[in-house]
Amino acid sequence: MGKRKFLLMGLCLAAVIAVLDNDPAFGVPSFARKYHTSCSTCHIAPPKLNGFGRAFRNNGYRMPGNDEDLIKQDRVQLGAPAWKQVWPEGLWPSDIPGGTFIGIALESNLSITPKARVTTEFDGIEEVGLLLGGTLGETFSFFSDLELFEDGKPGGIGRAFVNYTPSHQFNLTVGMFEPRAAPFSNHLRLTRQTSYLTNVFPTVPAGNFFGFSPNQRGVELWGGAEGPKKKGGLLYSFGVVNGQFGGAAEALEESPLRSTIEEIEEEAEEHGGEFDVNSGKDVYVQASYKIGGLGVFGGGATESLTQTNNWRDDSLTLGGYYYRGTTGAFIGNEEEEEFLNSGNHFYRAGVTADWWFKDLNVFAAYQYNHDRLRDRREFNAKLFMVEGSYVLPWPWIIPAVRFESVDPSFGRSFNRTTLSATILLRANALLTFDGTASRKAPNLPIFENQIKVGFRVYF
Amino acid sequence: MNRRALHVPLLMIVAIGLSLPLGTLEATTVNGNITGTVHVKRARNNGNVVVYIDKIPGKTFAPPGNHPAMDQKKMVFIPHVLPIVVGTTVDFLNSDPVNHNIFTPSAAGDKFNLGTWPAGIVKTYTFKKPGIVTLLCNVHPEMSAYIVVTETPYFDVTNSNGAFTIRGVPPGSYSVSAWHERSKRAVTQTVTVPASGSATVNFEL
Repeated sequence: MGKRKFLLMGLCLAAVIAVLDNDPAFGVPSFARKYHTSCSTCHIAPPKLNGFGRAFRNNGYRMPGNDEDLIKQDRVQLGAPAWKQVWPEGLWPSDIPGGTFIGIALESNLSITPKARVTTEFDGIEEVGLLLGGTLGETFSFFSDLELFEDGKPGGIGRAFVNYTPSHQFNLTVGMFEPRAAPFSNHLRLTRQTSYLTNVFPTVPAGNFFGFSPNQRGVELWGGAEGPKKKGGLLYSFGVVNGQFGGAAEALEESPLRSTIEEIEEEAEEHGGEFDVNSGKDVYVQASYKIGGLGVFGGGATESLTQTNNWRDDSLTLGGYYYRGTTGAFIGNEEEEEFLNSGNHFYRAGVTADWWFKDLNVFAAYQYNHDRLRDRREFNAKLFMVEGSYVLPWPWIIPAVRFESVDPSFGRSFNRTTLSATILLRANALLTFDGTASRKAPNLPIFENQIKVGFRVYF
Repeated sequence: MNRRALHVPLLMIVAIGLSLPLGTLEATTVNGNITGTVHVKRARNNGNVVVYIDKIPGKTFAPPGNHPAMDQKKMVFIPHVLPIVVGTTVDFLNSDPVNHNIFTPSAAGDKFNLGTWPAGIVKTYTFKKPGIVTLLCNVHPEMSAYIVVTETPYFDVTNSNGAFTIRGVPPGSYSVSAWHERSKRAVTQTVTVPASGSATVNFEL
């Protein structure tokens, strides 16, 4: 296959972007059951986390402070705690959830695309998801989201990982997870209609479909320390992952690029390689510092699980990240083209800012994408994103707006605006209104303006 | 009767009074209680805290004649926490339809292992050293219990609200400790029991 096909793929960039939507959105009902508390303890509106919810996650899915005091669900002891005195002559004790640790999410959408061939479409129950989460003993925890059913077809594993969290300073995550190097978590976004372009934007002419989301497979070391007076604090992460496609290939199965992707994968196998996984692992580092607000591990949290104004966390978090990877690429001119497993050395680097002030949250990211092939061809892109949300005096209505711009060296610059409103019918039932409009985007049906009305429920 | 004759009965009364043993005088002292509450962090409730008076210099206490019992029933040690004075012999029962075992990794219990036995059999052990003795069952690892061997008979176990009452404490100043299985070491405070009445002390573990 030659470069021409990649150029053609470049024109289909819009198609790639448009289908890279809708990572599953989950709150975690199993934690609500464990602590007999509402989803709103940790979520502003599922899945978006408030400051307490972020601290809960950083504590290995345990309540900051006195976790034991708040657990209402019995656990099954795998050895009484006193067996610690017997170790190493005996097993170190642990425990597993005594009740159900599985939650279910149902989602249904109505899409309105005025200029499409089919202007209005109900998707029925578009998605049935299973969400698993819990703790094992004092230092292990697990999390998984499984798409049982999506778009009428069986789904797969979105994320599945185990945490080892012995201390604030050093923790380990193993499995399939969204790297903490992602500028902002695609899984935790409030604006549901489209993914964050910073997380999924591929370099199509290089054949690089890497994305932070939905997951990468590997190991992540992370931790941090709270700031003075237990406010804010530092978080860092360092990871080694495979660097496989960020879901782009799967998302393109129903797109015009399907046959092209299959050809690429066949040619890569003929050359003895896999297009998306090679021996060279990808690595990344990330760090952020939160100024003010709740401690990053929950320092300053009250003993009781507050429900009013618990989305407020006046603070500013500044961060940076660098992801370096290697992926396969076709190198050389059309007559002498060869596939190299490590044909493309790329990186993604960016800075982030996350500002919370009373009922307002504004966060932004600037990311630079760089792909360099072994034949010295380079492809770059500058991406910018800013999103703001505001909790109204009626806290069950949360409007939001997102603006994204992409300036690739291999295509035309464009931007996209998403307007959103989330209405919490209940803590676990949401109505969402999203509208997307693009400017200077390629003239393709997929980039047409669209409105989506969705309903989600968790239990 | 003249005055000289009255002196004799009075002298006799004084002599008799002086000859009375001190113990009889002591019998008129009223022993008090030590009451209070304990709050345990990172625990589901404030129960099963042993509050006890530490060793009193120059005093030893004989163990009780009757043996306190610790049972194993429905895969649980009953009670979960048992305070005893040093030298006490404890009866270990098995009221379950399965075999149970009792052993301890604790030095205060000389790391004894009573073996495995079926229902209906009673095994005994005499605790000769003060300290915390952890009890485990080799057959059922989810089972555990604690025997707190103290050097005085003045102790109590808190209820789920953390309340305790140590009864019959003679007046005086004492070192009082509180221990919970989640605490790395006991917390100690000095308490003075008045000549009549009670003293109150609270603990935070």
